[in-house]
Amino acid sequence: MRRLILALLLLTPFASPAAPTTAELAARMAQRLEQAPVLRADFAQEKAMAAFKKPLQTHGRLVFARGQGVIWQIDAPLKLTYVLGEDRIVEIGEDGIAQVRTAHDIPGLAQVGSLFRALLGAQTEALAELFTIMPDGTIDAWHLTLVPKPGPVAQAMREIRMSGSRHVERIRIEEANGDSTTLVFRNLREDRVLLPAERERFGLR
Amino acid sequence: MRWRQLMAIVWLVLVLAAATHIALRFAGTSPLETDLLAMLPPTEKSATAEAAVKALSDQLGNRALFLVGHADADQARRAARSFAARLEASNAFKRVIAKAPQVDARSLTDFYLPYRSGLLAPDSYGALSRPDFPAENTLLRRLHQPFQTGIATDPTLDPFGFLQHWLSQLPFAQTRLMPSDGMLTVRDAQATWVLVLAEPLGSTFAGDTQARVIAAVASAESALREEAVPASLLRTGAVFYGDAARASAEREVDLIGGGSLIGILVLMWLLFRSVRPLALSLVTVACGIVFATAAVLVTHDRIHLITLVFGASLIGEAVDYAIQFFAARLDAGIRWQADKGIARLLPGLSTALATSLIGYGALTLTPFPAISQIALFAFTGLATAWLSVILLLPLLARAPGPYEGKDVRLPQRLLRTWNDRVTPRGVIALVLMLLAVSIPGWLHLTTDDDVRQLVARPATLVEQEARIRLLVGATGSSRFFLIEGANDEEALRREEALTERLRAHLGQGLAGYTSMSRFVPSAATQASQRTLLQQVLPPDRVAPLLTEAGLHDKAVTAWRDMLSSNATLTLQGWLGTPLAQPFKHQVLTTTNGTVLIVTLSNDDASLDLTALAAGLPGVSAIDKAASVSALLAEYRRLATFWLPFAGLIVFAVLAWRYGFRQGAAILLPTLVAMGMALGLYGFAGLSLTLFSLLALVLILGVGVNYAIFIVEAGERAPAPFAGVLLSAATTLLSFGLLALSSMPALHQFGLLLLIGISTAVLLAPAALTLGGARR
Repeated sequence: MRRLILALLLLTPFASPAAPTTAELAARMAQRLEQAPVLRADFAQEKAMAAFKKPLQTHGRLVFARGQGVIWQIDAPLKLTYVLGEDRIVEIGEDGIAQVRTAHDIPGLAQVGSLFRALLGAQTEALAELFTIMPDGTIDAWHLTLVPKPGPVAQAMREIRMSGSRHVERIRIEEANGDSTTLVFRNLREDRVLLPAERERFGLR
Repeated sequence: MRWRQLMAIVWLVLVLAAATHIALRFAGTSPLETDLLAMLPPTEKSATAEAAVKALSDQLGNRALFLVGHADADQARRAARSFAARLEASNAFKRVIAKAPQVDARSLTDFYLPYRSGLLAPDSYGALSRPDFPAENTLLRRLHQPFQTGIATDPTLDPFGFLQHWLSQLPFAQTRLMPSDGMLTVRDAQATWVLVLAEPLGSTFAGDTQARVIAAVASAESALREEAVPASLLRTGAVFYGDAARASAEREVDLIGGGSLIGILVLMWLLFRSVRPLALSLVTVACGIVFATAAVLVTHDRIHLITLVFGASLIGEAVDYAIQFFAARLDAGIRWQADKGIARLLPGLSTALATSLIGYGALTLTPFPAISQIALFAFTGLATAWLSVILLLPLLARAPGPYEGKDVRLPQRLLRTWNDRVTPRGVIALVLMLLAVSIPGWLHLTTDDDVRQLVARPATLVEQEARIRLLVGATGSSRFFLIEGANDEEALRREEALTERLRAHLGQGLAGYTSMSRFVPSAATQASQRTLLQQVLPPDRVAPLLTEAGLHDKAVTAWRDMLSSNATLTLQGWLGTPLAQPFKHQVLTTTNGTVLIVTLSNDDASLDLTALAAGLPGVSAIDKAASVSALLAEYRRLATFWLPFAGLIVFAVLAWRYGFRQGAAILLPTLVAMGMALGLYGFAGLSLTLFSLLALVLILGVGVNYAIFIVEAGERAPAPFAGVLLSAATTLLSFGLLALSSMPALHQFGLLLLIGISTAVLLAPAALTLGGARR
């Protein structure tokens, strides 16, 4: 009898530390963004590709701003900044020369851009358009496994795994051809407003 | 007498033969022309250009395009899938496509890979051409970019990403539709829209195809509506326009034909109070319409809808000859002798016919296929109705009529009042006053040569098409470029000269273009791009960079092999792949060589195609709509010059029969009517078009009929005058109904004829006052 009760308790969602639903995660992330619309972090990117003798390392910083987009600033091995907006992408080289491309110049840019922003923001609702999402862990230490729905995304990648707590901390993309990309975010800092220099990058005055 | 009966019998046999021919033609596939493009004349200089216009319109016209929309994206996709399944099951379509076409990235990359040394996107070419190409930076940027748009290539084979860049700028999808869950979708503020394409089974312009398609779409659409939250549907395609045009033409034929017939019966009953004149008049009209329809069907494959609608309005005019005959019979009473009667009427009826034919003859001088069909119809219809009166009526109405003309008192009083009160001086004063009033209107006249006068498109379909264009972002512009070359290579080179100019306008009046050289550069361009790569990035310079970046040694070998390869991509090689399928209609092979079509997307009026093509050999700018408008303008100007000439010819006919003075008196009411009609147009702010000018020529030809009839009858004859009023009333009724037509050209005919002929009729007694009766 005791065993039965114990088993029942274990099965009851209230009693067990069950995996969060995507809706709960979405609410959580939205709430966090509400409190702090700006997030800054350092990133380390590692690409393991068959074409290379050893994994390709990239380091830099990023700024994620709700409603604006992402500033992706590579510091090593080259200096290069991408400003990813709603429908355009600005590439700024070390020489300061900016190259602006709009969604119209590059078919698929809007899609790839929104996917990138959705991944960085762990915006499960937007991700659900393209992926089947399998959550795991707890609301404070979650893991998501994303399997692409049939379509062009499935042609390019096999699976995405991401994890985090209050923010996304790690993203691993398994490409269809066996290559993989791992992104690790450290030193995450929340803020309510953008710095003047960042505002300029987004084209705000 | 025998001779006459024989003629009548021969005539009736001919009518039967014509009627049989019509019945047989309509029993097979319907000979109605619902292709709106067929209304337009050939406008382009060369047959090749016309063939290109046709190829493009077929490409667009043979399919029906749907967007299924719902606020919820999943629901929208589900609704679109079930909508497509219902269309598929209906058997009305050859193919129904709801799945997003998969541009297979692998086969695309594999196809272009061997030729990559000659393939550079324009901005790669620009960067490599600059003196200090930053090779290392380009390599690192390509390797460390955070995300990849478009197709990813293997860094071993494409370390700098030039091929990747080339592939990403191929003009595969010039629309805003995005693949999502296997379907092409686009979102707006309210809904997610999903694309469904369907190719009708059978010719888009055949009536039975249209009926099947419309029924299938209607039933699939009602299924969409039955959902808890109904999905919405937008549609476009030539099949819908063709069906709508046919349906509205049929409605108008019923309205104009039916209305005219009922009106004629009622009006004739008022005057004749006898069945025989009514029945026999209708017989002559029926003969006219049967011969007219047969004449068009014998000389043309298909009968234009506009001809059919206009034909219905011809009833009111064709009945005039019979009315004059029976009015004379009524006038004669028991003294009626059919042979003498027709002999007395013949000159007047012939003159009236001649002037009408002059009016309609003007229509044959325009190059518009539908308008010259109308002219043929009217010519044959009026002439055979007239012949029927002359050949049949004297035999069928030999006996005097039963009625003695008591009910002509009102016309009698009208005529007497006019004759008693109105003096020649009074007529002159009235004419001068009417003209004086019209003059300010003339000064306000404007002109309009828009091609849309010829093609009426229902507002609901136009609105849906506009929304679809906005959502999808593709325009299917009617403007394009044509490039002609002696062979593939020359055509491609000439096309490249043009696209270099086009690139400068991207973002300014032009969103994009699709040209073959974007898929297959000319051999010359491939060679020069390969040379550039060899010069700027020789293996000695590239090898250390690749090694430094961490690539395997085989990347160095691959680079060396690529630069030494001479593989050149050819147009025929590209056309042989499934990837080229959607673009095949843009390459035409003629006896003179190769013809390429460059299509534009979202081009606006600021883009001057003629200027862009100027000075480029073999390149011509094609703009069907503008060409047709230019043609309309040219013929409008011609018609303006023709009008006084037509007046002179009509006057010559009148003067031949009536002499100068009486001829002028007969023509005067019609000239004043034309002046007043023009004045009214000016006051109302309506624009003059080719069709309003043609209508003026018709007023000239038809308007004088009534003055002719009055002058022939003389002032003491109340019954013939009542006949004149009756003729005028039936004609006005038909043209008045024609003014209700949804086809702009016919609407203008009807409106102007209504104004002009009613004025001409009201002033017709002036011909008597000024010129006197014919003795």
